[in-house]
Amino acid sequence: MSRAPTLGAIDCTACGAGLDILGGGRVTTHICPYCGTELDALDGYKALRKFSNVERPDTPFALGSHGTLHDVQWTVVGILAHRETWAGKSWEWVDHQLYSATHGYAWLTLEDGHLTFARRVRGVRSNLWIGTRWVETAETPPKVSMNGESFKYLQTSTSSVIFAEGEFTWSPSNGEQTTSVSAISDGAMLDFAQTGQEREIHRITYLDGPETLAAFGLDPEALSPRGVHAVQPYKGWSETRFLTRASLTFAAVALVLAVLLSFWPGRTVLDPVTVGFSQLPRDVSIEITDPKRRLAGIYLSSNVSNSWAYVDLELYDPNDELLFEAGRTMEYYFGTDADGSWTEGNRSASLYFLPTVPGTYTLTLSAVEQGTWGSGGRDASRVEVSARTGMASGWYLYLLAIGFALFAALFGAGRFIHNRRRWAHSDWSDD
Amino acid sequence: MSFVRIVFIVFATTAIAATAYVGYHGAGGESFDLDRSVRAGSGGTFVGGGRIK
Repeated sequence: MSRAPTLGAIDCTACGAGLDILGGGRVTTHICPYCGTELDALDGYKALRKFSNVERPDTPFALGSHGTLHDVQWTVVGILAHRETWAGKSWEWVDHQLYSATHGYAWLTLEDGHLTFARRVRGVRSNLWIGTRWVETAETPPKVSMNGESFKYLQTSTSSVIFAEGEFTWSPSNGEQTTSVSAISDGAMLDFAQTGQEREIHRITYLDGPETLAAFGLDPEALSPRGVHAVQPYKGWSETRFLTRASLTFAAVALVLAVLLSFWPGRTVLDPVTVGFSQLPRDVSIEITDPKRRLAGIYLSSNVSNSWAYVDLELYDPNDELLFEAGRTMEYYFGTDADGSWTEGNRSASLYFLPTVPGTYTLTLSAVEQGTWGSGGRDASRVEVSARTGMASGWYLYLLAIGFALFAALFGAGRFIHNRRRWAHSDWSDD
Repeated sequence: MSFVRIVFIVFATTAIAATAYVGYHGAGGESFDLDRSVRAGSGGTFVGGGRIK
């Protein structure tokens, strides 16, 4: 049964006020905005009951307001205010029932100064549903997917209707409670609402406030949004997402190259030579023939045992000019304690340098200092020397990788913080 | 592709290529504690005109 389609206005059968008929044929209930009487639109607008309206909610939209959203002309035909109370706090929001002669019904919701648009989802598979029982028994936040879009559980709310006026496709009753479970994706929300035995799914998207107000002929600055809405998209620089991903990609490339160069093997130019400490000072020749500058390494290893040994090193280039002085300590300790056996230190040491010209380099090992630890310590008696060249360094590539990662973090920080604030609406607890 | 993207990709690719090139030649791999005193250079022009070590 439906209402006469040609009807344009009626007089309230309770108070006599003139009421415009704005909705379509599926309207069943008309609540008089003047006296709050609920009229039966399917039975000659017979007065059914009084809707005990509290104060009219603060909204810039009024019955009859019309504007274009998503290229469709919509008219506000009904206004509902909801209140949710939990843990001593309460939240209120206003639903505006929208009607389009070509697209049917939708909801324009105002909450904390944010506007969202909701349309009922029809024709979905029967198991597309997140119910309160699933939420209560789940170990992880429930997820569903619709048309390739993944939605993750956000919150459960039970709200009551505290105000109603205008036309509706069902009969709102004062204090009627609705429990809804919400899940969000990157850009939308699915709302699974159950009232009694009736189930409905709505898909909700965020609306740009000033644009929407202007579309309805209202002051674009009439609303002052507070906080971040759960479906509010991040409004950053248009290139932010690309630059974040590109920076991460380049960071990964730099890291891979850095590791590759760090483990570049080079080639041996001095096989291990053993030098007794009693023979010091002693020169060791290192033949480096690479025409191009490539990293070279000198490796030392000593037979320290619960002891340490420090060796002075000087390296002369093929022109017998001193290239550098350095020293290396090799120390190695071991023992057992209540936790078992332990070792500390390293019998080996190394140093790296850049040869200046090809030729024979001379490494001079001189004064040695050493000492022992504990009664089992034993002075080292020798050091083994070897050298490699043709190696590479990943040092600057590691720095570059860190730089790109910081770049990505800088670009991604805004989106990350925004998403944290979106998910702050969640009531999920791992407990 | 936007100008910003092109500039970023060119900049980043150049940076990686240049850094990999110098890294291949060992830059940044030297030990930090090598003592390159004046003995390793020209001899310097310090008081006395000689090498300080």
